[in-house]
Amino acid sequence: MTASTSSIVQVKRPDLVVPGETFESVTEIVSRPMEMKLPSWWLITFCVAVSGVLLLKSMLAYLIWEGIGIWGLNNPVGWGYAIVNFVFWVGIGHAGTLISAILFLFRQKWRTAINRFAEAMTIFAVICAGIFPGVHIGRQWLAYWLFPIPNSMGMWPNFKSPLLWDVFAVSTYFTVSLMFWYVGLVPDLATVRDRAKSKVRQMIYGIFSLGWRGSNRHWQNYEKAYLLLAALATPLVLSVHSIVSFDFAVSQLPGWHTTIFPPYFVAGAIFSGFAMVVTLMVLARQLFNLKALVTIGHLERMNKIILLTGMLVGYAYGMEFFMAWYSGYQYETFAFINRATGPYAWAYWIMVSCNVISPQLFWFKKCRTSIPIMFIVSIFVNIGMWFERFVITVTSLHRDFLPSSWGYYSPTWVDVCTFIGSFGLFFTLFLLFLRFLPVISISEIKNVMPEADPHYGEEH
Amino acid sequence: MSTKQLIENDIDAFDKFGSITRTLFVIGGIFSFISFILFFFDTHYFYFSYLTTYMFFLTLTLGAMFIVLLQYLTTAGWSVVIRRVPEVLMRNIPLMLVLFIPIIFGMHDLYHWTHLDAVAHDHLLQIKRPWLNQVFFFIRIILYFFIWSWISKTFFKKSVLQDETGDHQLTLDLERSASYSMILFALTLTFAAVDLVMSITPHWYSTIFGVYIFAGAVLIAFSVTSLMYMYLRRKNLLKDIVTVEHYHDLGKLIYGFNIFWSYIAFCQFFLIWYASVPEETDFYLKHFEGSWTFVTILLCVGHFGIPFVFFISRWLKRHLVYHACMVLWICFMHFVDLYWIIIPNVAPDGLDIHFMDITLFIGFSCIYFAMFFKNLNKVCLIPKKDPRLSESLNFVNF
Repeated sequence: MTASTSSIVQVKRPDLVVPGETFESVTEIVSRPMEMKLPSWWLITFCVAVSGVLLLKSMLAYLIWEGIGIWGLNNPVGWGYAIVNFVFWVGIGHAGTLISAILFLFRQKWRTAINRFAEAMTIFAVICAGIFPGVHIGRQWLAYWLFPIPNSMGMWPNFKSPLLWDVFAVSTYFTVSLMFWYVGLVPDLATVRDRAKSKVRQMIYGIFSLGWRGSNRHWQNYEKAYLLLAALATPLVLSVHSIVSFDFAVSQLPGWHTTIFPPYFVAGAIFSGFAMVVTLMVLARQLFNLKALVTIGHLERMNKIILLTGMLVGYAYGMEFFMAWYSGYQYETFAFINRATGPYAWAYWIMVSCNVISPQLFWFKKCRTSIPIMFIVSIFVNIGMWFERFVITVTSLHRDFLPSSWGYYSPTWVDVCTFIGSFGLFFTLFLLFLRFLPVISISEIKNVMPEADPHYGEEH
Repeated sequence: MSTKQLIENDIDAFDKFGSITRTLFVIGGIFSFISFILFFFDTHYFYFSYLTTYMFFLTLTLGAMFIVLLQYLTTAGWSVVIRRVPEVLMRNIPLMLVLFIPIIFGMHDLYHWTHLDAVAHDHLLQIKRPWLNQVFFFIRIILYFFIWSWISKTFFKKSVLQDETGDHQLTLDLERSASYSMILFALTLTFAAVDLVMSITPHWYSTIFGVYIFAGAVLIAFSVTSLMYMYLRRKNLLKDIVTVEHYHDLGKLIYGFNIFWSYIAFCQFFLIWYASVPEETDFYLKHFEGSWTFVTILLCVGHFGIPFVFFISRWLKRHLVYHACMVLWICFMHFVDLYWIIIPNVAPDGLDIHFMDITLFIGFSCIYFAMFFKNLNKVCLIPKKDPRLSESLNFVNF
């Protein structure tokens, strides 16, 4: 019996907030980054990030001036960095909706510590993603042709093309994510407003908190809206990346056309999104001292999801390989053998080792709960997921059906600088978020604290 | 409300299902015998019909295994009181192994790739020879069943053992083994789907096929779980333990997995239709032949459309009579789905419902559920000493 008494303690649910914190201290912890003196590290990184934005801007200006020829695209490889970066950034943006919508519907209370953070990341990542197809079209001044706008020329986009569906899917996703994020922010913005010391600050936060007074009626409407948005956002988690995968999978190209692509892309997107959340969260909780709210337990759970989705992605790699052989279709078989042994084998093996092998460390609790290890693994996963898109796009294209049209793709310095610049944009937006908005949902965290239980303090 | 009172009332099921077990065995015996006679009228068709029914129950058993693994893997609290039925369902793996024997006899009818003379003239099948040959096929089937029996036995035994000892360590052990068991489960289910179903049309291939079968399996398992608890409820068992809150959650999961199935089914169809590669379209063209078109439309409307519209509301999920009707409909649709995959291979011209489709299904299901109740007779109806039991008993949707 003594053995089982000791294990009762282990079966107990872990605390979501470090014991000892109160409602007041939670508000303090989350508000501090917004109210403290501007830290110097913030200023320095912000300058670096803004120079990234400038780099991006100059690359885009150069592109519009000079044309797509400055990129490394060539005849068999007509899609290169632009589409790779697009899919990479859309993927990063997936964790936010998953955490805010699906984990919400599954009553995963630990999500409260990371949802705000991940949702913000989603929005910024989708902004970065949107740039790439926009500038890839060649005549960027006609970018509005992407949308089916009634016009006197009687010209319409091709409704049968998944590229057009992408426009709808990504813009819907962006809109709903933004709404979800904003609705969640309203009560917290009101908290910041009420704490504001200067008139201007009070006014600005006051406007955005939409007159929130925290009355019972407000809360009721708020929770209804939140639930509805969660339900609406749930299919979007699947649809966006499914449609992104259609860009490839509807073709007849070996290596692109495979039926597992939609769920495989979704799993990959969640994988990369969580990796990015871990990368940034590890830093933010350190720099802003959020350790009481984002505990090791939270990070461990995220690492478990990384392990799971990493294996789902591994399953898809395996199935693709197996079916390429099983199909008996020589081009399909060649495409996959070429991936693993051809001129881009280096990229393929980087992908496999980063995405499938490195997360296996998370089988061990020691690794799941070790900050340095999870930081490194999450970086590896980010790298691996970028390479996954590179492998899919480039290796499938560089060997055309006729050997006379084989080629090799290498990016130019413009490609690379544009990609680096997009990180600048992402981090600029993200740093602004860290400074000016509550990075953790104050009201939702309070909801999962033991004090929120109506029977709290009663003797039982 | 004290947990103790609740538990002592009605969870000890010992010998509560004796009569139903006997009845089911008798009916199952009769219908199996009828099917056996029908076997001599159309042997070739019989095997396809048998495989359809077999896959229905195999997916049910494996889906139940998934539910159990999932609850441990996610350390779920709400679902403790509804875990026993899936646990007993997955204990039917040995039965499924025994019932596999007719398929062995029917290999030659079912699987074109077993005809060595045909393979000799078929370039694609020659390439697939290393995988699609009888010896390796049997090795794989044995391996799958070995893994499945091992998982179901481990999880069932430890869970039942906990009813007596109350040792929390057992829960922790199972939570640990759920992780790698899940991987084994995913791989075996995928390849079993390829071997048993996909290889009926040996030229065809689809990377998503394992996920497709998986989606159906989970759906049917959740549905049958919900139905079984409603049956117990009618027998005045577990009335205050498995409450409408649990049915509501089961309903949500059924709804969710139904949409997941639709998503996977759509992706598979859509990508093949759009790319229109002859090796792949071959599979779908069969399903638009003659009256099969009707079944295809029935699947779209019945498997996706109707539950999508009529099972979305909270009120409907909590209305038990309605819930039961919807779930029965979904079970029927799962059967239609498997029928639609398998039968066009033997009846290419159009839908041709055979009497043995019905007798086989009734016979099979009676035997299956007789075994289910026989096993259920020996255990408590809920894991009564599970450390998270109180969480499940006090669970409410908000």
